Amino acid sequence: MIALALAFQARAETPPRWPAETVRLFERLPIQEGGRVKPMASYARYSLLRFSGKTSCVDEQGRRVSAGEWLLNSLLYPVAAREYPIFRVDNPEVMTALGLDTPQKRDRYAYKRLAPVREKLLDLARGYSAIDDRQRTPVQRQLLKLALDLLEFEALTGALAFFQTPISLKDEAHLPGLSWAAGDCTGAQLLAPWLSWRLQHPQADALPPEIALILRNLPQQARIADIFTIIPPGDESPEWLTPGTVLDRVIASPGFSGEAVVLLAYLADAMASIHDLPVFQEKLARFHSAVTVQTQLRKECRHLDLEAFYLRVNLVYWAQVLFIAVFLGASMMLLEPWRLVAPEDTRAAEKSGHRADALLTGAILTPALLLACAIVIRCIIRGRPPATTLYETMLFGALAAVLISLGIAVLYRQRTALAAAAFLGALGLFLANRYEMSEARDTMPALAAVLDTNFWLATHVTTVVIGYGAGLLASVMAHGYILSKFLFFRALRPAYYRDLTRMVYGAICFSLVFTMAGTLLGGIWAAESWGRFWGWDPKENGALMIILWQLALIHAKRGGLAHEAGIHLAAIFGGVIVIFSWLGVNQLGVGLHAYGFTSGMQKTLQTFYLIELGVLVLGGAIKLRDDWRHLDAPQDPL
Amino acid sequence: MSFPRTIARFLASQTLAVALFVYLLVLLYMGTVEQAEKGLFAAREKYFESLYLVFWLFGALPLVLPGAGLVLSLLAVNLFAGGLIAAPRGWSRFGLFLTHLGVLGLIAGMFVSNRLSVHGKLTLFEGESADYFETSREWELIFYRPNAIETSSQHVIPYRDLVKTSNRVFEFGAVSLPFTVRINGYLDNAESRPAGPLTPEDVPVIDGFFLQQSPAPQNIEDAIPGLYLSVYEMTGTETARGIVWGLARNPFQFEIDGQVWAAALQHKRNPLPFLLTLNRFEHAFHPGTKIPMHFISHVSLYVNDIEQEARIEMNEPLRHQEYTLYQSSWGPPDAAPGVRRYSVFTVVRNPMAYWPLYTCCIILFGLVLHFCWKPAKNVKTASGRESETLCD
Repeated sequence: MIALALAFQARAETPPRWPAETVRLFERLPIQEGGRVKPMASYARYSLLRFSGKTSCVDEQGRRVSAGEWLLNSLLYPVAAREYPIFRVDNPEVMTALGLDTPQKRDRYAYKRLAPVREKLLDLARGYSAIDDRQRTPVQRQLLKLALDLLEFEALTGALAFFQTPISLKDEAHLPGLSWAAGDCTGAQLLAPWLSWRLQHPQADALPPEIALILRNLPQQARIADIFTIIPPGDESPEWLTPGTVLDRVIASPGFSGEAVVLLAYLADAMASIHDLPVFQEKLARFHSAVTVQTQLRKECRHLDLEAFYLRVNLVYWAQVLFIAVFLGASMMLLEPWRLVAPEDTRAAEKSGHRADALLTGAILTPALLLACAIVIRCIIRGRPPATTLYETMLFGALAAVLISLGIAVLYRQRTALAAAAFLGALGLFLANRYEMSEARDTMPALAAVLDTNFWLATHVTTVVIGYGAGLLASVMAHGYILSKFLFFRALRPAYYRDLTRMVYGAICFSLVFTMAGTLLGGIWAAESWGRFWGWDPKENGALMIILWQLALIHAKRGGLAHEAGIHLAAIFGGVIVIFSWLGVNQLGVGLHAYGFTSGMQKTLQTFYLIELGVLVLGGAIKLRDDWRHLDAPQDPL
Repeated sequence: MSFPRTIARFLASQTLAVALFVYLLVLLYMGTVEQAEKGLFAAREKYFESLYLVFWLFGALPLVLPGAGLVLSLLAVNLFAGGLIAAPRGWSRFGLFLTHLGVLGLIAGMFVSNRLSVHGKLTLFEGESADYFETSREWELIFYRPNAIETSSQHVIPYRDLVKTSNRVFEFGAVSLPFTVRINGYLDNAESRPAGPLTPEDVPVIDGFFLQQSPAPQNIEDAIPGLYLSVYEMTGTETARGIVWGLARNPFQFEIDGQVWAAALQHKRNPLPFLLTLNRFEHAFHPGTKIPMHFISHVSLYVNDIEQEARIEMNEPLRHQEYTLYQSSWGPPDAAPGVRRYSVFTVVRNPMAYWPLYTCCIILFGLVLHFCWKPAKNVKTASGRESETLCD
C-alpha cells in the first residue's frame, strides 16, 4: 500500500545566491503577457514596479535584488518571497483601516505582514470595487490596489508551486521502464521522469492509481495561477499556455502530445534540480533554447535577448544621469569661471570659452547618443517608428529638443542653448521615468488596430512630437532669460539678451512648422481612417492651442505688440500649453487618443503649472521693472 | 482716414489676428475641459460650432460672447485682407502668401464641407444587405402597414418636422394616408417607463406608460427620442393614442378602416447608389487581452447587379463614387463562437474629401519655403559674426 502525504505547501527555504548567468538566462525566457511575447525581464520589472514602485527590492537578509531575481525567487521559493517588503502603501490610513499599526507614513510591507488581515482587506476591496473610480477616496483606491496586488502576488507565487509540492511516497510505484522509489520528493521530481516517459509512450494511459491521484491533484494548484503563460501551444492557437494547463491536458487526454509537452518536461526537469545550481542552469538553458526556437518558429518575437539587454542596461536612466551632470556643468560654465583667473585677458577668456563650448557639446552628445541608442533599440524590438506610445513620445521629444538645441547652439554660438539642451534632456527623461513609475505597465504594449499603421505613426506622431520638443526648448531658454535678468540684471551685455531672444523666436518658428505639419498630417490620417478631418478631440484641440498661441506670438511680434520680454513670457506660457496638450489632456479621460490616458501624473503636472505661474509673475515683474527703468527698449530685438 | 478705410485696416491688422488667435485659444481650452464633464457633442455645439455663446453671471446676468463659428469667419476675413491683399509682396514672402492662402482654403473648405457632406452609420449582421445608411443624430417617424406585402410604402415625417414639435402640438397629414396624426410633444432623449404612484401628475400616461425626459447623453448619438401620438380619422374622430419610443420592441399599432397601421421611430435613412452585403466579419484581439488586433468586414458591393467583393478594415476604407465606408465597430461585444455578429460602418459622402489634403500641402510647402529662407539668411549672418561673450 502506498501512503500519500499531499501537503500542498511549498517548502520554507532560503533561496540561494543565484549566479548572474542564471538570472540573465531566466530574464531572457519568453512569456506571453499583455498581448505580446516578451522576455521575463520585462514581466518581472513591471510586476515589481506595480507592487512596490521600484525596479528592485531587498530580500529577507537585506540584500538588494533585481526584479528578475525577485521573480525567480518568488516562483521557486514562494515562502521566502513572502518576506520581501514589496507592497507599497503611501497612506498610513490604509494600514489603520486594516487594523495594523505602522510608525511610518509611507512604507513597503511584506506579504507576511499583510497575510493576517488578508480577508479583511479583500472584504473592504469588494465593497470599494462597486464604487465608481472617480467617487473613491484616495484611501479606498489604495486599499483596492493593495488587494489586487496581493491577489496577483499570490497567483504569481503559485504559478510553479505544484513543482515544489512535497510528496511522500511510502512505497515504490512502477510503469514499464519507469519506477518511482519510495520516499520524499517534490512534484517536479515526480513529474519529470513521467513526462519524459510519456513522450516516448504517447498512447500509454496506464498509471499506477496512486500516482494518477497525485498527478490529477497537482494541476489544481496551478490553475489558480492562470497568469504565467510561458509555454507556446503546439498548434496554431495564438494564446500561450501555463505549465498547469499543459499538465492538465496531458493528464486529461492520454493522446495529448507535441511541443508543449516537451517544453513542460524540460521545465519539470529543471525544477526537479533547483538545489543543484549548475544542473539547474543547464536544464533551464535547455528549456530556454527549446521555447525560444518555438517562439521564433511562430514568428512572435525575434528580439527577446535584445529587449532583455535593453532593460538590463537601462540606457534611459544613464542618459538622464548624464544629462543632469552636464546641465550642472553647463550652468557653471555660464558663469565663465575662467574670467576669475585673468579678468583682463579677453583673448584667453575667449579661448577658454571656446574650449568650454566644445567640451559641453561633446558632453551633451554622450547622453544624447545613449538616448538615441535606446530609441533605436526600441524601434528594432517593436518594428515600429520611434514614437507610438505616450512614453515613447517623451523619449523622442527629449531627443528632438536636445538635437534642436544643439543646432541652435552651433548656429548662434550660445552657451545658454547648450545648458537648455542638457536641461531638456534631463526634464524629458525625468517625465518619462515618472510616467513609467506611475503607470507601472509595459512601455512596449501591443498596439490597437487603429494605430496599426507605421506610415502615419512615422509621419504624424514624430512630426508633432518634434514640434512639442521645440516649443519646450523655447520655453526653457525663455526661463534662462528671466533667470539671468533676475540674477544678473545689468551685468550681462544687451547682445546676449538679443541673441537669446532670437533663439527663442527661432525655436518657436521651428516648433510652429512641425506642430502644424504634425497636426495637419493627423487630420489627414483621421480623414483617411475615420472619415473626418477634424473632430474637436482633446488631443487635436491641444495641438491647435499650441499653434494658435505660437501664431498669436508671431503676429504680435510682427505687429509690434511683443518685444523682448514679451516674447520670452509668451514662450514660457507656450511651454505650459505644450505640456497641457502633450500630457495634460490625457488626465481628462475623454477622446479618441485613448492610448495615452494616464492618471498618475496629475500631481506632477499641477506642480509644474504652479511653478510656471510663479515664473510668469516673476517675469512680469521684471518686465515692469525694466520698463520703469526704460531698459526694455520698444524696438524690435530681432 | 475715411471710416471704411479704417475698418478695412482694422480687419487686415495683426492686432485683430492676435486677438482672434488668443480668443480662439480660450474657447478651445474651455471647450476641451468641458468635454470631460458634458461630453463632446455638447461642448462642440456650445463652443466650436456656435456663432455666439451665453454665460450666466451669478445665474442671472447674461454675458454674450462670440462662438468659434463667428471667430473663424472673422479670421477668414482677416486672413484674406491681411495675409493676401494687404501683405507686402516679394519672393521672400511668397512662402507666407502660400501659407495664408492654404489656411484660408482650409477654413473655407471646412465650412463648405460641413454643408455638403453627409455622415452616417450602417449596421449589418453577417449575411444582411442594405442600400441605405442611417444618420445617427436624426430620427424620423414612419407609418407603414405591417401586414402589407409591399414594404416600400412607408410614410415618413422627417426629423426637421419632428424637432419642431418639441413641447407643442403638430399635425400631419398626407394625401396617401387615410388618417391624420397629431404629435403632442417630442422628447429628444427619453425613456418609456411604467407609471406608478410617483409619476408626476402633469405627464400623460397611455396604457400604463409615460415618457420621462432624460438628461442629454455625453454622446448625442446615444439619445433615444420619444413622442406622444394621436391618430384621427379623416372625419376628425380620434381613433388611437399612443407612445412611440426609439427603443420600443414593437411599433405602436392602430387600425383605420379595418387595416392595421404601425408607427415607429427610426434613424433617418439616406439612400446609397449601391447595395452592400456583409458576407463575413472577422476580428481578433491581441492574445490574452481585449486590445483589438484587427477587425475586417468582407463585403460584396452590387452595382447594377454586378458583384464586386471587397474588404473594409481599420485604416483601409472602401471608396465608391462619392461614398467612403470606414470600419467603425462591431458586436455583440462578447459574442460566443458561432453567434451571428454585426459590423458597423461609418459612411461618409463628402465631395470635398480631398480638399484638406490639398490645402495642407499648400500650407506646409509655404511654411517650409518661408522658414528655410529665413534661417539660411540667419546662418550667413551668424557665421560672419564674432562669438559673443556674456559679460562686458
